[in-house]
Amino acid sequence: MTRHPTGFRGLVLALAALTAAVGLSVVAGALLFWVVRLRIPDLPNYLLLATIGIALLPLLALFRRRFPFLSDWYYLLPATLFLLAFTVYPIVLTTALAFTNFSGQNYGRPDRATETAVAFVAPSTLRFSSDPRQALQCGDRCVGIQVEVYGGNERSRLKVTGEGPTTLTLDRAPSFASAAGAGQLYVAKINNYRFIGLRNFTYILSNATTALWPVFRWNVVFAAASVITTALMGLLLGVVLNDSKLRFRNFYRTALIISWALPNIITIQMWNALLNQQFGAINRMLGLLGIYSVPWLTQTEWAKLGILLVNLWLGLPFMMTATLGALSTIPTELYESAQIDGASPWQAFRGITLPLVRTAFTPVLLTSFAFNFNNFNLIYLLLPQGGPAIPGGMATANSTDILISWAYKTAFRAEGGSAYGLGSAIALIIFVVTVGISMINFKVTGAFREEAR
Amino acid sequence: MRKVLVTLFFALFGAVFAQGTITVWTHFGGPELAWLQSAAQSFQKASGTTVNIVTVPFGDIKQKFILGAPQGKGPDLVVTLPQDQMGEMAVAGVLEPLDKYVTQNYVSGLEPVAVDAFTYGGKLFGMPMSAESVALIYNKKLVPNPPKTWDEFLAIAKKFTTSDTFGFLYNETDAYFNYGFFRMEGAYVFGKNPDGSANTSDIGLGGAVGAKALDFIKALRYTYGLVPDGVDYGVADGAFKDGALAMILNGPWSLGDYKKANLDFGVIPFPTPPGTKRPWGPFVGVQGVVVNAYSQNKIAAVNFAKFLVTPESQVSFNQAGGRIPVSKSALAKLQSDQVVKGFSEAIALGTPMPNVPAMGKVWGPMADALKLAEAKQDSNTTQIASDLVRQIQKGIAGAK
Repeated sequence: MTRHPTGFRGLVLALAALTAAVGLSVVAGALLFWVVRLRIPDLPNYLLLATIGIALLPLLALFRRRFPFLSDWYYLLPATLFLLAFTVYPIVLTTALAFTNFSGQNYGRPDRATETAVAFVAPSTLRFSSDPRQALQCGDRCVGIQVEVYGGNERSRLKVTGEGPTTLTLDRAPSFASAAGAGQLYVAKINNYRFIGLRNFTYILSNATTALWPVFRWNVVFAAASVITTALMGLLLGVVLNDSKLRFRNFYRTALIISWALPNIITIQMWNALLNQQFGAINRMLGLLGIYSVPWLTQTEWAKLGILLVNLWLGLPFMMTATLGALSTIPTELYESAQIDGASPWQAFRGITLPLVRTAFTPVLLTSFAFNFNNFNLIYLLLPQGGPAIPGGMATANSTDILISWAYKTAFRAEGGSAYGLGSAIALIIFVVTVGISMINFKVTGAFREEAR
Repeated sequence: MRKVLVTLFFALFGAVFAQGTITVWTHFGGPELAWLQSAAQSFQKASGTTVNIVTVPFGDIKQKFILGAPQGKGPDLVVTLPQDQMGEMAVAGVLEPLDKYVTQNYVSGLEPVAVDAFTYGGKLFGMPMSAESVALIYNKKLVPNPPKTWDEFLAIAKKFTTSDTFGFLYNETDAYFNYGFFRMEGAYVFGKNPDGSANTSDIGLGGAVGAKALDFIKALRYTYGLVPDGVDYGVADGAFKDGALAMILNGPWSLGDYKKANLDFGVIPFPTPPGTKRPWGPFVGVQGVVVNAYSQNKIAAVNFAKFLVTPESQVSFNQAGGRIPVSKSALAKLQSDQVVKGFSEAIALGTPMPNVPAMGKVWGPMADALKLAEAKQDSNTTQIASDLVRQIQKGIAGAK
């Protein structure tokens, strides 16, 4: 057992040593990969990870000999690397994209509508058969734009530095310009994306009254109402099912947990069919009772109610199980002594069950709120188009859309037109809102305070 | 260790052998998918190239292709895409221009509307395989004589609108199905520039004509009582398959299933009501095979695409599913087919969907406008139509 250097200095030293080890292994791994690829040209790129791993192991052993205290950190290393790769990196990327106009049409790839057959007349001069400005659709001047020159499976990205009536001069000559294997060469303009500052955010805020604000309001209402309804029903059923005098108790428990056991991808779409106004089973049953067919899913208020009902069905087992778990920790002696003292069952419930369940329940409620706040599956699968439209609103933010489904549709659905930059900006707003709500939650409820003490 | 080596060996072996394989994404299902699979098998026999067919949902293809193709994760070709998605994908750089692979003979053998549909920026980006538009499909068992006029249509539709049958249903909240009604009032999506390309700053869906179209669609629900709330594509299609629906507005892609359900059906253009500016005219979609610009195996991919779009293939594809061929000689062979004739008449009345990227910003707002107009009997269609144009303009302008 060796002593770890203490204080801030120790932390910096350890982190620096770890970073150096990982950095060196990346260099060594890349080198190793390159050497292997000289022998096997078809090596898939992901094997780079394997060569880095191979390089990392001896390096870690070597570093440990020099800094013996590092072995403590080795336990953390895999988890940290995964966290960096799958949590920190996407966050950084999303943040960066939120300030660009990255989209299907500004994609940093050659615009094939401008593809033109060309030939090299000099190592870095292209000859066109007509005016390059028209062929590449670059307006008055082509100088300064980026182009891709390609032929066969070769491609190279270059910058235009000069232009003539039928020629363009490039900043350098691509390696394959004179190679015979490339065949006919083509050039196309790159549809670059660029930094646009806060314009994505001003666009979102300029639509605040028809998109951001109604969507946010419904998002909070949806999450809060889902937590309240599932918690109350779950508590009620949990208490009832906890009664050992109840016959067929296990049967009820099993039956009520089914909605949790089935994949919700399927059940939510089943609900979509069940709630159809004309042909759904729900309205058929209501019709037998003489109730006029309810416009579930097609009128704003009913659609919202429908979503909450489906979410009650989906979320109930979780709350019920949590209640049953919390109830099983309450010693039966408490109830026995309450009975001896002459307390009514209701008094026992208020005085014993509720306070003792509350401590176990608070984190469950918070988790449930956070989960429902971003409950994409339910919202998107039950009503893929976001339910009834909001007058004057955006097609990506309809009346039952929540922030996350709005962001998804903006970036990935036809309505949004592949606006990845704008979608990232919405995602960033969700991030800020979620962090804010969680902080308020923790503060108000005092959950997790014990751990902090 | 030995196990690892063996696995590694097979992985590398597979990578080497993958040279002779092409991957196809398709949104076909049922008999059309079976047709594609058998076409792939005969191509495999003739050329030795293995064809992997992957089914991808229609609505996901564009996104997955744009994101995946530059990373080497795209298919070698897609069978098939409609032209309204093609412009955006061409600009995003994932589609291979096909002019260099096709002959003048091939192009002149196609219907001109199909060539126009797949020409963007003066280049051909796909090999057209089939055309489609919606038309009125009627169940001959219920409707022996198809309606020739609007009044006849209304009389038949009302006669069958009972407690357990329906006279006329369609996907009333979808822009594609409703465009014909906009068209007959004189509305259009984009105007034209002098050179014939789409002028995306001239949007013709608003104003009095847009409001009139929305009023008509609303009347189908409230005045004539034909299409109740909550009817979507699945409901209408299902009712027709069950024989409980007399007439439906649907496209050739549905015919395979109708044949499978042993329905005797006929196809005619929707009868235009009196007092409109033009005859009813649907959106004409042309679907074509497109090739991935990042494909490592373009020659094989293009060869398979050519194999799929020959006139003979188009005829057999029509027989499998029911989509309308775009090759002149294939159409000539199917001259006597009444279904092909009905759809061809509807297509002749229609306008091709614009293939510019801005078209992607039209569908969502149009669906919203339809939903808003149909939600209430007293909805303000003038306001909804002007909101529609504003939303499209906003979408096209984006966050620039």
